[in-house]
Amino acid sequence: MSAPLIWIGIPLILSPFLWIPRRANIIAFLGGIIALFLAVLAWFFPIDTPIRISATLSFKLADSLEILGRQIIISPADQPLLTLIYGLAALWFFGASAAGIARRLVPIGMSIIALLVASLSVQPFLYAALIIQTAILIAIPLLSPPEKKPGRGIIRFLIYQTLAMPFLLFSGWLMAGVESNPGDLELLTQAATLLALGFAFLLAIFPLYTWIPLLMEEASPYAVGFILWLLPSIAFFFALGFLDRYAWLRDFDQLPAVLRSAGVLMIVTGGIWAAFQRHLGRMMGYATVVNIGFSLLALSLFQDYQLSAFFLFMVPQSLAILVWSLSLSVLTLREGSLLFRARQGDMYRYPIIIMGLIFAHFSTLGLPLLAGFPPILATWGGVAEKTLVAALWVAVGVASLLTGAIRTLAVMVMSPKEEEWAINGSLLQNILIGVGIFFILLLGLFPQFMSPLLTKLPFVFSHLTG
Amino acid sequence: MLILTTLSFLFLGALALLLLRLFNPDFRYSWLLAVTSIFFAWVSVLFWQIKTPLVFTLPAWQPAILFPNSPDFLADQLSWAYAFSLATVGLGTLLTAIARENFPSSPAWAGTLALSGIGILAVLAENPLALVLAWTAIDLAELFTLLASVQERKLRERVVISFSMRVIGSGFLIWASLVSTAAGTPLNFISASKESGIYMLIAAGLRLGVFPMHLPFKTESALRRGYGTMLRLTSAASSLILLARIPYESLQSPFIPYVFVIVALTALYSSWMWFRASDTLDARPYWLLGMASLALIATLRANPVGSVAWGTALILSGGMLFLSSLQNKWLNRLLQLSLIAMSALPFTLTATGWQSADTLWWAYWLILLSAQALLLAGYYRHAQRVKKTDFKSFSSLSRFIYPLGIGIIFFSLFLLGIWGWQGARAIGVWYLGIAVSILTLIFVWLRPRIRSLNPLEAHWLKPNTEEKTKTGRVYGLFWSLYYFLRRLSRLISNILESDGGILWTLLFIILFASLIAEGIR
Repeated sequence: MSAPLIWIGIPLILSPFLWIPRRANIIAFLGGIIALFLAVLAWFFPIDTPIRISATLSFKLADSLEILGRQIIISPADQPLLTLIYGLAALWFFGASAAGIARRLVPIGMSIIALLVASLSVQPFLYAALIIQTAILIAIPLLSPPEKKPGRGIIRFLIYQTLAMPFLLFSGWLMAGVESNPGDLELLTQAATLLALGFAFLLAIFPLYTWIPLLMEEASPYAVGFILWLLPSIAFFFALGFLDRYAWLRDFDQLPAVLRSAGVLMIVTGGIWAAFQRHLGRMMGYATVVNIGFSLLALSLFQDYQLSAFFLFMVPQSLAILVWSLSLSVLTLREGSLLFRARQGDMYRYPIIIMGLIFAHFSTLGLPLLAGFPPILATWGGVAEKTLVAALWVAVGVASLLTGAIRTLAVMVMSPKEEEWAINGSLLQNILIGVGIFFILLLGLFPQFMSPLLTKLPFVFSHLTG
Repeated sequence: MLILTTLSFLFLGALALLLLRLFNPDFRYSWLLAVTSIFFAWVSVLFWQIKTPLVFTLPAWQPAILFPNSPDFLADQLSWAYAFSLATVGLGTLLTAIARENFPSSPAWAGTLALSGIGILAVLAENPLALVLAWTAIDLAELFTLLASVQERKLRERVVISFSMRVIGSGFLIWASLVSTAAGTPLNFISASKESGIYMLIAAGLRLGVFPMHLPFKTESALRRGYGTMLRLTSAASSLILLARIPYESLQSPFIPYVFVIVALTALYSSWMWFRASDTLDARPYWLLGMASLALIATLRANPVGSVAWGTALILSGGMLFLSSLQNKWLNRLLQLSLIAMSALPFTLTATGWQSADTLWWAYWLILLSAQALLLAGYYRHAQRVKKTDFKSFSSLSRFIYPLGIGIIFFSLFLLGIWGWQGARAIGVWYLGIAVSILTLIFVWLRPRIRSLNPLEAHWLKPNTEEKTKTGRVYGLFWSLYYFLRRLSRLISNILESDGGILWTLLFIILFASLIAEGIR
């Protein structure tokens, strides 16, 4: 038995079987339980350490698996990362039934996660680009059901994500040369430029994020939310893998400045675009652009904070996207349109759902008391210490996103006619969103609850954490 | 431990009331439970004095490398005065609730207890982090309470605008902390960089509505007098404490003189409006604005004790007046006597209000003393106008408890003048106190005799956001800019999202690639 078989093989094998149950809530429950089991196993079960079962019998979970001459290695240091990925995936799967998309999201999502975990573990690691591309192709039926004609968003998503692959493969090929000949400045320039372009496509850096708002209009908000949580997270881990592996890249003088500039650009443009949206889905799309920006900013501080600031964002951002996209899915299922003019006064018809939406939005922009506040405060402070001008631009982005939140709030409470309070939506939908709000508040007040995970996560990238 | 005891009384009391409401709605002693909780909390706050300074620390935020400060709370001489004032107003609110038309109302009492708890946490905030957390808790409580209680579309819009102004205020405090950190002095309430003070002032000013002068929420008669009063005063107290905490060294910005002018004019304008107002509850924001401006002036003159004096006077005197919905001869006299506490005369609560090492230009004195006198004269007039209800129609218990609620605030108002904190037993600038008292008497005497001091009701009710007013034009300009930016953003979005957008994107990419390559070289 090997670790890759458990955390990659089992989910891949089980994912087709998750199509079998006829009831969506059973699929969601099974998917959630499997993901949760894998998360708990990753936290408690030691890899590559013999476990004594009896006096004569012991068991050891091997850390590698060889397939077609390539190795997939999951080391003990990777276990917190697996816990995080499968733990958060469990939350997404449990909520899938309430969002009305369990039948598609759980089986496809499970296989996407397994592939993306494989992309982080494959050796030589350049094969990761190919595995990521496979995961993206599998995501297409999730975002656009076969019976529906694909829209512009999905096509552009596919184009931009596919364009990332050649850039990354070329840069990897050049990097091998840089390692053997570090003095070759021309080669270094080409490798770094291609790498930057590859990740710009993969992480949807400005102006390559146009597919996000388009997709939010076309597809199920919950499915897009899932992709917007998973893909950037894995892309960031992939990028960290590059940084961890190549010393010259890590020590590259301009790297923090480049990451900071990209982060600020994402926050400012995403925030400003969000301020003027009149579609709730597009608003969320731009907010996830801001999320990516903050992660880039946190990454730019790796020389001071190692990866603490970056990992601090993982849970709050995921939680906010989850609650937000679930709220939007419920509204889509029950009301159809997500346009502002159609959603006036919804606070009185769907108080818990709308509160979920509002709290998620405020958490994304870092309103104190909510989950997004501690990581944003820490990162913003770190950036201010480096350059106050960048911090001021971040303030512009945050203020713009706040404008979007205030506009949403105003639309939700300004009903054209007087309305009585009523709690609509199913019990499950209201409970799940209520629980989400509770955790958003809890993590805002006690970010140290994430500490056990945060202390172990950085060791996945040992060179970056010193 | 003592702080935790007080908070436990308040939060557990609130929780118990809500649980009883859910599981045993016929429980007959809810009010007694609420009053007992707040009474014990009030007594425990009194006992803080024995052991000040007291510290209450929440579990530290982790990882420590990212969070040098965690939310800590400190009860010292200054914050105690605010905490005691809030506990007193909370006690007064629940005691006077017995004579309200909505009695019994356990959700409102639970809200009062919880608000007292959050308000006390806010005034005890030892660092900006703790303060912004408490501010947001109060803001969210206010937002949802108001949204639940107002029906009209326009009013809901104002609730949202008021909320956004407060959030922006909190944002300025966070920004002050970032600016101070960037200057190499992590912001706390002991030390701050000289660049950050102005942002802290703006934060407090925005939250109090002083600059740009705005009324947080003018039409609030839909709210109940008790809970509504508690909400307003808690919100004000939580912002006022910042004025007492701003280190004076940080107020060295070249903009400070301009801020002083704006605050002085705001004080004069709001006190004038308060003096002329015909409805006490409608005019409540002017009272808050006027007194808060005086507190702000004290801060600008390096007098944190004076700032606390004005702040506590705002809370206690305001609480006394706004909670008074019934009238009898003795209560009326209590309200009028409470004016002494706000007069800046020796051994009163506000005796330290005008103390400062700074000298002031005479014209400023003219404005500021007039503002104070107008506030006092207005208070006297509003105290006279309290609704005349036949006290005898209430039960004997209500007839005893209700005046006790008002009386306990009156007692605290004078207690703070002589005991318990840094500003007690002060002589202050006694001649200014006398001048203000004389000026107040003159205003009170003049009011019925000069017609312009008695505006017609219709004039008072004219909405302040009319298109023709200057404010309306400013708003119009703002909206024009907003629509222009919206059109611009839509244009760029359309270009990038259209079929030709991919080409534009590729163009950008080539541009970025050349920039990156150039940067590497």
